[in-house]
Amino acid sequence: MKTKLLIILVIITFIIVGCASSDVKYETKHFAMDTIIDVTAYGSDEKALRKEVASAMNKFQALANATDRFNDGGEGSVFRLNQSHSEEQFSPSPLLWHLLCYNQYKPYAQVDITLGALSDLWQKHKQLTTIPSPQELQTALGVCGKSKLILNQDTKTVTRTDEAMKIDLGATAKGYGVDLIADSLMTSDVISSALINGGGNIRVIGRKNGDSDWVIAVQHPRRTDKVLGTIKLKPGQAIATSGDYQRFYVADNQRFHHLLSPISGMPVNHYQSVIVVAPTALEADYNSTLLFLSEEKFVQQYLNEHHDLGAVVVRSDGSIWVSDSLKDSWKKLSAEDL
Amino acid sequence: MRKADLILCLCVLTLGFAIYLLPNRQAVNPTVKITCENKIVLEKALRSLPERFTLNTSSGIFVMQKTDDSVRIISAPCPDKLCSKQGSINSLNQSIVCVPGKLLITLLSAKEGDNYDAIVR
Repeated sequence: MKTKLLIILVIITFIIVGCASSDVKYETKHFAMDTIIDVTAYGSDEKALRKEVASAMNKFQALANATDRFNDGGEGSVFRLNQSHSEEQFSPSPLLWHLLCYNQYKPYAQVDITLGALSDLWQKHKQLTTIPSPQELQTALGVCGKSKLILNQDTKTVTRTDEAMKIDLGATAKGYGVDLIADSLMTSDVISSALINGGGNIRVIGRKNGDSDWVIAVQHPRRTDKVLGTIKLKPGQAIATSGDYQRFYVADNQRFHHLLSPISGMPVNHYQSVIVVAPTALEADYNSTLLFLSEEKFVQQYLNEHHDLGAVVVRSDGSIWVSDSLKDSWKKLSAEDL
Repeated sequence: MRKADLILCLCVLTLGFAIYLLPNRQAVNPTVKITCENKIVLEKALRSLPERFTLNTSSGIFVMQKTDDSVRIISAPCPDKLCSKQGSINSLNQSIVCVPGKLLITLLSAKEGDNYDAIVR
């Protein structure tokens, strides 16, 4: 009897020890979409982790090709779409189709994927460090507009009604790509937890190494080597930032950044940055852009209606507003740490 | 030896083996603190430093190599080179000491704000 008990005891101890032994960590970096995609994954077998992550990266790369408007990504890519003739029924790749539908069916005018001509104009002036004239802005805006892109659900084709209208998916492509990686890793049973960081679009899987929260630092919008605060993410959650400090240039002592109003064609200056926590990286990416381009009254009302979202807003005077949903997970660093 | 003694003996052995198997806790995003002649010359999150960095001290130039959670001296001006032979340190409060160079490298727990997994820019 005692011997049996002893054997059972020994077996139980070994099982407990077996469970407690730590997973291996596998980290890899990959260049795509003009940024670094950094994946950190935990699992029991490094070789299997490497294989799963590589296969997930391939999905990201497929999306990167399909949404690159400056390099030909092959059939069904946005590069080919932007060259299609007006009235042509263009068949986008399934990934591109998903992203076009996601953006186009949102009821908000602030985020507009048809602003390619406008951002090209700003890009040109950025290189010369000059400012576009009102006439130039009007001309560029004249070829933009959601109504110039028609989606046909029956045939899954898209038509541009104006050949000068260029699709630019910069606001959502990275977020969607991070989700593609996350979805791929989540279906795999060799991965116990992971963090995917696609140029600041972050999504987490599980709890870090099984037992602790993922903690994400938010960059200070004016002191780029400093951290403004930290946010804890729940398993599966994503975070993204839109800020006036990410891509900008200075001309005439003014800061001109890349987040443009589809109405005035000018950069929008309500905030220094907007950080959004959402259930998916696509939603975090889209909503950080949407809220950055919206007035504070809209932001607060929007967050009241969307309970699954949380936001931290840094106003243009540097003051910080935090949505109720993030009050527990947001931690601002004290002034002396800055 | 009675049966109970045997049980006790096995339990102690199993427990000892269990503790040996438990994961060795590494420092998370540690801060590296380097003092030379008892003055702090560097105190920074390890991950914010380049993979290789140098320190100019009164006794000569030290070259360090680091990863996100470990650091080592790869070249030192001291005659015995014991500090570079020690290899890398990677757990909390572990130190590398170079007595001739009066250099002390310690890994400390992360400062508030350094202890994070990723940064959104």
